[in-house]
Amino acid sequence: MFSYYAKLALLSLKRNPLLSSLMVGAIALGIGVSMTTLTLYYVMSSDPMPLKSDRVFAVQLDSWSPDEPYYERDGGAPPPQLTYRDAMALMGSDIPTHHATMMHRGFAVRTDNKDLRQEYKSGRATYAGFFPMFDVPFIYGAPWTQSQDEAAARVVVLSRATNDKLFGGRDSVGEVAYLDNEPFRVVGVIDTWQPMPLFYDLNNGAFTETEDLFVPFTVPISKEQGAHGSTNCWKPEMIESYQDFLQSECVWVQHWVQLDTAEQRDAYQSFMDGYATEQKALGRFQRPLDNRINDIMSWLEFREVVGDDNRLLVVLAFMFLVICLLNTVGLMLAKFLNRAPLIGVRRALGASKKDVAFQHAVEVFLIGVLGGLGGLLLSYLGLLAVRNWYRGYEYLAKLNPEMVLTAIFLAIVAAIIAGLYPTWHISRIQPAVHLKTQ
Amino acid sequence: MEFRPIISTLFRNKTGAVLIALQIALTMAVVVNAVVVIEDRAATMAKPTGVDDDRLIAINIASLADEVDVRAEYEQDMAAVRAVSGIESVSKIETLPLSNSGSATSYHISDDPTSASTNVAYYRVDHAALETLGVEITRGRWFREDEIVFDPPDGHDSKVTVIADFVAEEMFGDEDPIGKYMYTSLGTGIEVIGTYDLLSRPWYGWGEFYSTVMFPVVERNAPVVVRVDPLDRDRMVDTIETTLAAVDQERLVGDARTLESMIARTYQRDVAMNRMLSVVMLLVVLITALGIVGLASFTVMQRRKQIGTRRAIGAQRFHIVRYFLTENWIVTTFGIVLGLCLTFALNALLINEYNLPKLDPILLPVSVLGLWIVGLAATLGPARTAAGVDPAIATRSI
Repeated sequence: MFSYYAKLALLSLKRNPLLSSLMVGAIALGIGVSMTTLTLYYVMSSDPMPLKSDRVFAVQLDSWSPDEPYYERDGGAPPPQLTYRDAMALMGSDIPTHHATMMHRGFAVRTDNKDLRQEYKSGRATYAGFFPMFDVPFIYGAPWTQSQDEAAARVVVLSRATNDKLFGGRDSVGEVAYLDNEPFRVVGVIDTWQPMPLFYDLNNGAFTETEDLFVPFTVPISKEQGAHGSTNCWKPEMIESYQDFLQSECVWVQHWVQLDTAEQRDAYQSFMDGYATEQKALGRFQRPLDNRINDIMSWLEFREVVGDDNRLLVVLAFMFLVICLLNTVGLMLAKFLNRAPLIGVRRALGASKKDVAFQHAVEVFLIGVLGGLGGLLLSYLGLLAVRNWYRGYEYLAKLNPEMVLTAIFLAIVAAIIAGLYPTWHISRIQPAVHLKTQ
Repeated sequence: MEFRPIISTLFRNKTGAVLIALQIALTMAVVVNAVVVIEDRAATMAKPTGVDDDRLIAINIASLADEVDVRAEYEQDMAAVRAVSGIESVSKIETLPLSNSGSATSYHISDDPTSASTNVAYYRVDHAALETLGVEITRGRWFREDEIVFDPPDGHDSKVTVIADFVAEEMFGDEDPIGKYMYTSLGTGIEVIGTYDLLSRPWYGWGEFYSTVMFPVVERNAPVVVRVDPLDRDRMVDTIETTLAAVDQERLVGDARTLESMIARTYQRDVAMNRMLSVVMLLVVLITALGIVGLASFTVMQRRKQIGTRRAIGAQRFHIVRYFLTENWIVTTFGIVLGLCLTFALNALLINEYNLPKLDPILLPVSVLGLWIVGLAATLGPARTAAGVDPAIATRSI
């Protein structure tokens, strides 16, 4: 029966191609627009590290001005970064499974190969704990060691792309790369690794590429270099030397910890609060105690990674989908009712209401599937346009299998919702009325 | 006019009319609110930076040496660029308007750190910057060449400043700002020697857009900013980069780009948002119009006999056209009334959730008129088909 109805539905679609394409087109457009905005939203709000995101935490200490909070919202919140001295105090803790202070910084990079032009590469200065904490995959070598951290050893971990460029993709462990004209020994090469959003440092945008190379945090410190990011200060204090800056109340480094158990988390919270209380005695931390650890998802929410723009677009896109559905309801109803005399005859010949409803439901389903496929094509084109319009969205605006399934599912649900009333209406036709007028 | 029969017909066949009215209402809500967002962004982007956006090129320079004689490097770079033909002016300027990187701080009106303060973004510039940027001095004077400080140590503040008219008014009100001092939070005074008309911040959205000041400082690794003729500009980008790269092979010279491209990058999210909203708006109107065409065509087909009958008993073609247009107009107007409520409701929601501006009242009459026109235009085709129905049809199948 189904295949017969499917044939009837196809015939019915062919009989009135303009109207059919209008219905399919309306659903396709509605789906296309909604899926484009939804895909953007979905990727922006997705979990960058699903296996561990509830065990890895961004640390906030409230060392800000006694006069005003860093963030006004929610009755005040601590700054998103730490002062150097506080981060160093936290690095002294042995509670976390892994932990790392970090900053973003660029380096001029070359090798002994004279054919390659010296190039500017983005880098992250951090501690050895960074790699196991964030499950960074290595192709060659391994992270540097803790003692190399302490010694500010000139060692570097390269990204796969950087290793391809500098060393032609070979195992470069033990070779030398020059960073700002100083020799660094390569200790490891990581595989392509692109958490999205790039949660651990949101200063330069949440949807940027991971760094080209990694060096010990102590290296730029020993060279008296600052971060390429955001530095915020509240206290009027004389900063005349790099040491003054390190001791100042300026916040400019990020600090992450891995705490696997509830005991660790409690212990770490009391460790932070204890440290802050100790500092209060020294005249610092004059705000009420507000020290926080935020797991990755709450961190992304706190930093408002999904912009208002994207929410607004999703809202408008779904209103658009509703308009498209209303459109389809009207057209289907008109189309079905036009066929009322025919249905009258079928009913008179013994078809039940259920049969009639089923026949039309099949047609509705067909429209839904076609609309869904059209919608997929349109969302693909839509995302192509978005990639073109937004630089740095190359990683975002891509259809993934989940979204493809969602699109088809959404289209069929939409078509069924749109077809519900017309189908119900047509199945209630009184055969007598329509037979009379023949 | 046949309002009564039209309305009673509509009541006998409500569903189609209700669907169209709902579509019109939602369309109105979406379109008007999308226009509110678009207008808001467009207004932000239309604000002038105060400099000649189309004439400026910036090139980044990074010296890797431990010690650099910043003044000597400056003289060398300036001379090299000036030797290129077609250069109107060249400077070293720490940052540019809307380049999205820069610094801001607060200055007080007295050496008491609790006194009133104004937050300003600051530009560290050389003495040629006035000509390079194309900013106008409104009072006092511009920096002398000997006032420029090269590569001052951390924490060093200039002794003099030239400030925006906007800042002068914020800090000193109607008083003459020349010769007055503004103070850092540590109590160091900086003398105001002049004011300029307009210069925006290096970013937008945080702080007053035109709250800026300039200091006569050339930092190590400050970018070279070149002013050229707009017609030569794109051609000059590479020439200048090559020229600067040749000055000293040990330096990293690169990332040469026009100010316009930097501004485009800063505003890219807004531009993209506006494009997406415009596409959605167009599609919404298109879909609604097509929906009206589709439904009207069906109504006409269904009513062929009645139309034929009317024609047979004396109705002119234009009576039939008028009938359908009036019918659509009534439905559209119902939709518009509902749409007005929806539009305000959505606007209130958006103001609350997304800090959207209130809608401009002029948008309402414009959108009402627009929807009437769309409705009538969409009905015109089917109505003319209806007018073409042969009166003989009435006699045929009865």
